[in-house]
Amino acid sequence: MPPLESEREKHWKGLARLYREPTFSRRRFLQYVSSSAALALAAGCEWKPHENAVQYIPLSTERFFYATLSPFMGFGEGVLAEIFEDRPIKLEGHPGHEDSLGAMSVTTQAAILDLYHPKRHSFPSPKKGLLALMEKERQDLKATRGKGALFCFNPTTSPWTQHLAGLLKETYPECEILSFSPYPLFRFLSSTEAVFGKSLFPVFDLSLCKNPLSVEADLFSDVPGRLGHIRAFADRRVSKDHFLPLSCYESFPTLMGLRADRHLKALSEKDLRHKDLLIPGPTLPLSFQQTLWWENKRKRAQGLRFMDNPFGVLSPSHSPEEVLKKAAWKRVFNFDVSFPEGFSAAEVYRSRSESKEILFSCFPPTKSSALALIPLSHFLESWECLRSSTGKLHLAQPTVNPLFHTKDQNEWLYYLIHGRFPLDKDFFEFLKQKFSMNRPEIKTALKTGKEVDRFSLHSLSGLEAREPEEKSLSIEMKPPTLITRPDPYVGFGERSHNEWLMELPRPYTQLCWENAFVLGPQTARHLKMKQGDVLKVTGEDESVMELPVLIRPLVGEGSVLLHLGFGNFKGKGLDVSFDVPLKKWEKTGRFLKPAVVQEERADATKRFAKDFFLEELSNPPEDFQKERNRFDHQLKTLRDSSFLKDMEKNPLQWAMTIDLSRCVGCSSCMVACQSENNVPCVGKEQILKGRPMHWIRLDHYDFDTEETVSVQPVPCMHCEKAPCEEVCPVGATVHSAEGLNQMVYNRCVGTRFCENNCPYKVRRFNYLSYSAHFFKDSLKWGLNPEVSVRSRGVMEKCTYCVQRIEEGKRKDRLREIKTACQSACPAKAIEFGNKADRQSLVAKNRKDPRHYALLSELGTLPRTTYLARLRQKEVL
Amino acid sequence: MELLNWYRACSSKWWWCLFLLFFVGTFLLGLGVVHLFSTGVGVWGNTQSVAWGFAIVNFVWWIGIGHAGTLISSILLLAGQKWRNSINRSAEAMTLFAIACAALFPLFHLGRPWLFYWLIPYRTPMHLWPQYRSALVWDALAIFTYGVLSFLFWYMGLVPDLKAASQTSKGWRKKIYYVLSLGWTGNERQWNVLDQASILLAGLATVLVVSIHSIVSFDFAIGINAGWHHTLFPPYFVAGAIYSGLAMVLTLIIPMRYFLGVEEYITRTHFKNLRKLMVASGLIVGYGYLSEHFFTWYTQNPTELHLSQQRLSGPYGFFYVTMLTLNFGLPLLLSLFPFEKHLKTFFAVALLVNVGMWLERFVIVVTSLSYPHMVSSWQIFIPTFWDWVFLFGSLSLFFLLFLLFLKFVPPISLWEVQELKDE
Repeated sequence: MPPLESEREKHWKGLARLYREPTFSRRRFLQYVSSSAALALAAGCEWKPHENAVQYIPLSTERFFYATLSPFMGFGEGVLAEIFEDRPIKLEGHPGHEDSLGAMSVTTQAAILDLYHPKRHSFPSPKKGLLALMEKERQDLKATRGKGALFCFNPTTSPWTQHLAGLLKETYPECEILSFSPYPLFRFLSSTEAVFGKSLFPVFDLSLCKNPLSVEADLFSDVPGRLGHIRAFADRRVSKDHFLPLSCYESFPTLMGLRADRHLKALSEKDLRHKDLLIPGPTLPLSFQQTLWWENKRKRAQGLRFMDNPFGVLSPSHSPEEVLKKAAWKRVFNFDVSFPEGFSAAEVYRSRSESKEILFSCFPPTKSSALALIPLSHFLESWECLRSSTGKLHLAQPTVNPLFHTKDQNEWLYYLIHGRFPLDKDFFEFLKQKFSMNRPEIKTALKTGKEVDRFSLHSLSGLEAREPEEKSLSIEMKPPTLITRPDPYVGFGERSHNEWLMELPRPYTQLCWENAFVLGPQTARHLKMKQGDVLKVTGEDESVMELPVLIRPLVGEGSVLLHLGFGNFKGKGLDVSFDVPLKKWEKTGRFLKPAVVQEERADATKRFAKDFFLEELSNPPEDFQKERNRFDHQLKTLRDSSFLKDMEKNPLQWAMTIDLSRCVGCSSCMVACQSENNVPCVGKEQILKGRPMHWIRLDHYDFDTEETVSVQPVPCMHCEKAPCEEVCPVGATVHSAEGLNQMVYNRCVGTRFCENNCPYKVRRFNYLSYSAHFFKDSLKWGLNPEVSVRSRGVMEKCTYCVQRIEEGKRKDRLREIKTACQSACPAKAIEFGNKADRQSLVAKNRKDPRHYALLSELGTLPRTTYLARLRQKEVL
Repeated sequence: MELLNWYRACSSKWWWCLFLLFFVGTFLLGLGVVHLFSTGVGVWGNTQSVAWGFAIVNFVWWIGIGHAGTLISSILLLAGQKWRNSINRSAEAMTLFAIACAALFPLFHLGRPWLFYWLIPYRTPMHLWPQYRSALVWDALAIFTYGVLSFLFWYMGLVPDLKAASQTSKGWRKKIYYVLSLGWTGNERQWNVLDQASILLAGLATVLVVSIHSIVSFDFAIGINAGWHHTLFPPYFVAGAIYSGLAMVLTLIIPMRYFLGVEEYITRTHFKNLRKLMVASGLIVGYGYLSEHFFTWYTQNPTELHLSQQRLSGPYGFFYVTMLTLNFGLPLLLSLFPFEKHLKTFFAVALLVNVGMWLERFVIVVTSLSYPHMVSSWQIFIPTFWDWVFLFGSLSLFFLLFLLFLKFVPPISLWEVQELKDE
C-alpha cells in the first residue's frame, strides 16, 4: 500500500516548506545544516582495507615489445625488448634493423642479465651525496672553465653524445676530451686515412663478392654488422647457385675462419689474384691493412664500401698517451672507458688519474682507485640514438624506468653542462634541431624502430686512393709468439660479471669460466705437453704468464693463443700489435684441468656432424644415402603401425631442422635458450665436474686430415620412440599428441634413468640447487614467468619452447611460432614448425637431399633432424 | 649344548673392537646421509653423462651378495645338500643385511628421495601409477619381494632356536627370546609345518635367486647404451651375484668360525663345497666377459667397439684388467688349489673376489656411461670423498649388523645341526 501523501510529507519537507512553517527558526536552521553535514561526513566513513594489504589489480599477461638498440662498439644493433608486467624479460632481434634482421648476438642477449644483476646496485655512495658531489664538480668546472679536467669517452656513433661532448667543450673550453677504446676495430680509421686521405669506416657485404679472403678478420663476431654478415654468408652456403667459397689466412682461428673452405698458410700474389674481396682483420699491422685496402681498390672489390667516420668529435684519439700526458689533471671524468693491462695508455692513465678519477660505470670495477663511482643506467633504461653498420641512425628508448634510480652517460653530461638532468623533451628537441624531426615522426620512429637518418656510402670506384709506400703481406714474427685477441664474450673484461657469458663455452676452444693457452697439436708435441699441463711463457719484457694448455687444431706452429679479458695478460705493447713476441716458453710440470664442456672432439668417421662437397649435392655419398633411406623406412614403418596411428592424426606435429651449412657456431642459440627458459648457471666447479645445464649445446668435432672444425647444435631430439620415456619409473617424461617429448618436473623423482638412456645426452639434471641464485635479490625480476624454475633433484631438458607453442595456439598463429634458439639464430640455421603442414619450411627441409637424422641406426626417430653441411673442394 | 652359549664369545675384546670400528663407519654413513639429503646428489662425482655412479654400483653389488645366502638356504635345501645346515643361518643373515644395505642405495640415489614412494603403486586422487615399462619399477618390486621372503625364511628357521635360547638364557634375554619364538613348543605338528613351509619357501626363493638379479640386470640390459644393451646380462649377472655372494659368505664365516670356536660345525667339507661353487659361478662370469667382447666384435657397432677398447686401455683400463684378473684368474686358481686347507689364504682370496666383483659393477655402470654414443658427451667419472663414505659406510653398516646378529641370534642353526648329527 503506498504511503499516504500526508504521511510522506511528515517525513520529508523541502527547505522551502520548512521555511514557511511557524516553528522554523534560525536555531532550527543551524540544527538542520549541522546535522546534514554530520550525516554527509558519516556517509563518507566506510570499512577501509588494511593499510598494508595490497589491492589486486589484474595485470596484463600479454607480452608486448619496445624497439630499441643494443650498443656494440659504438654502433647500435636493433633489438625488441619483450615486456612482461612492465619490465623487460627477454630481448629479441629486430627484423627491421639491418644489423639484427630479427637475430641476436650472444652479448646482446646476455645484456638482459646485466639489467637485473645484483652486482649492479652495490655502489657505496648514497644518491644524495652523489648529487652534491657532482654539483660541486660542476661548480669547479665553471670556475676553472674546465682547466685540468679530462673527460674520457668510448668512441660512439651517437649524435646525441657527440653533440653533448661538443657542447661540453664549448662550455668549458679549457677541458680536454679523450676518446679511447682498447678494441683494435678503430684502427680501420687510421689505415683508411693513409690510403684514402680521410678516415673512413669499412662496410662489408658478403652478398656481393664471389671469392673473398679473410685475413685475420672475423666479420661474424667483432665487426659491426656481424649478424648481417652471418646471414649473408649462410644464405650463400645452401645451394649450388651463388655458393660462396671462403678462404682465410689467420693465426688465431675465428668464428669466420672456422667456416672457411680453404686455409692459406701464406699470402702469395697468386692467391690474391683470384680473390675479389680481401677482408683485413683489425688486429693486422697498419701497413698490412693499407696494402689490403689498396689491393681491394685495385680490384674494384665488390662487397666493400666505406662510410665517413661516424664517430665525429668522439673519434678515437690517435695517441691517447700524449693526451693523457698533456697536463697534470685535477679531475678525470671517465665515462665507462676501460684501460686494460697491456696498453701503454692504460699505464699512463693509471698514474695520471690516481685518486682524481670519477668513474661512471654500470658495474663497479674489481679494483679501482676512483674518487667516486657513479652508477650508470643500463641501455634498456636510457634514451639514445646510434648508427647501424652502414650508418643508418635509429633511436633507442627506455624500456623500463631506471631500476636503481640511475642516470645514463648523456644525462650526466647534460647535468655537467646545464646543471640539471635532461627531460625527454630535451632529447626530442635535439632530434628536431639536428634531423628536423617533428614529434609524430619521432613517435613513429620509436614505434617501428625505423631509421631516421642515413649516410651515403662511398664505393671503391668513387674514392681516390694513394698507393701505400711500404706494402706488406705478412706478419714478420719469430716464433714463439703469443697471439692475443679480445675475448669474444667478455671483451677486455667489461662483461666478466655476466655469468651467462662466462659459462658459455667459447667458440672453437669450448672453454668457459677461465682462460687457457691454446696450442696447435704440433706445438704441443714439440713441447711434450698434454691438455691441462701448465705452460709458462716469458715475454721479451720479462713478463711471466702461466696458464694450462688447450690443444686445438688449426693453430700454427710456434704460436700460443690467448684470449684477453681474464686478467691473465701481463705483457706490454698491445697498442702496437696484438701479437707479442715471446722470449721463452717452458713446461712447468703442474696440471690444471681446463673447464671445457667437451672432452673428446675426434670424429674421424663423421658419424654426427655430416658434411659433403658441393659437387656431391646431386649425388650424395653412398653411406649418407643409406642412412637417409633407413630413416625414411623407419618413419614409414611407424606411420603404418596401427599402434601409433592416433598420434599421427593430430594436425600439429612439431619438428625442427638444423642446417649445418648455415650454422656458423656463434652460440647465440645457447644464450637465447638460457634467457627464455630460466636455465641456471652452475659455475666453474660444476662445469669441471661435467655438469653443464645448457639445454642446447654446440658440439665441436676436429679431424686429423681435414682443415676444418665441424659444429653441431644439439637440442632435445624429441624422438618419436623416445628411449627416455620408456625407462622413467614414475612417468615423468611423456609424449604429447603433437610429438613433443615432455618433461613433468613435478612428477620427477630424479632416478636419472632417462639421462642414461638418452643416446644424445641432452638431458640435464639438477644435481644441486642450481636455481637458488634466481631468487637472490633482483635476479628474480628477470625470470621468464611462463617457464617454471626447476628445483634440485629434477631432470630438465629442451621443451621446444612449449610455452611459445601454447601461446601460438592460443592466438591461433601457428605458423609464427618460433623457438627461442630459432629466433636468435643469425644464420637462420634452426627451423621449427609443423611437419604435418606441407607448406612449412620444416616439412620442406625434411625432404632436402641433405637431410639426415642423428644416430639413425638406433631407431629413435628424432623429430630434430639435420641438414648436412656443404663445402667446396677446390677454392682458387 | 655349548652352541647355545655362543654369545659369551661376543663379549670378548675382538667383538668390541670390531663393533667400535664399524660403529664409527656407520656413523659416518649417517653423516653422509644428512649431507646428501640436505645438499643433493651433487655431493657425489656423477656427471651429466655418468648419471649413475657409486650408488648404483653399490646397490648392484650388495644385491648380488645377498644371492649366496638364498642359494645356500633354498637351492641346496631342495638339492638335499645337508652340509649347508651349519652355515645357512649366517648366510641367510648375510642376505638380509646385504638387502638392507642394497635397498638404501636406490633411495639415496634419487634426486628427490622424499618422493621415493612414487615408485610404489598406490591409489592417488590423480590416478597416477608407476610407469611399468621401466625396469626400475620391476626392480623396486623385486627387491621388496626378495626382502620379505628372505626375512620370512630366515626368521622361520630361527623360531625353534629362539625357543631353545629362551630356555637356556636368563634375565631380559629370556623374555625377549620367548616372545620372539612365537609360542613354539616343538610338537610334532609344528615341526611338520616348519618342514613343509621351508620346502615351499625354498621353492619360491629358488625362483628368486634367478629372477632378482635378472631383473636388476634389466636396469642395464633394456638401456640403449653401449655396454648395457646385451641379452647376455641376466645369466651373467646371476652368476656374478652368486660368485660375489659366496665370497662374502667366506669373508664372514672364516673369521666367525675362528672367533666363535665352531670349527667342529663348519668343516673343511664346507669350504671345499663353497670353493667348487665359486669356481663354477666364477667361470660363468668369465665366460660373460669373453662373450661380451665377442659380440662387440661380431656386431661391429662403432660405439661398442670403442667402449671395448676404452675398457681395456682407457682411463678405466686399470680397473678392468684388475677385474679380469680377480674374477677370471682367481676362479682358475681356485679350481687348481685346495684352498680349504689354507683358510687364511682362502679368506684373502674371498676378499679379493669381493673387490673384483665391485669393480665389475663399476666397469658396467660407470665405464659404459662414460662412453655414450655421442662422442661429444664422453665424460670421465671421478668419485668424491662422499662417494667413498657411502661405500665404506654401507660396508660398516653391514658388518655392524652382522656383529649384532652374532651377539643376539644363534649364528648356527641348532636344530638343523642336530638333524645332521642325528643322521
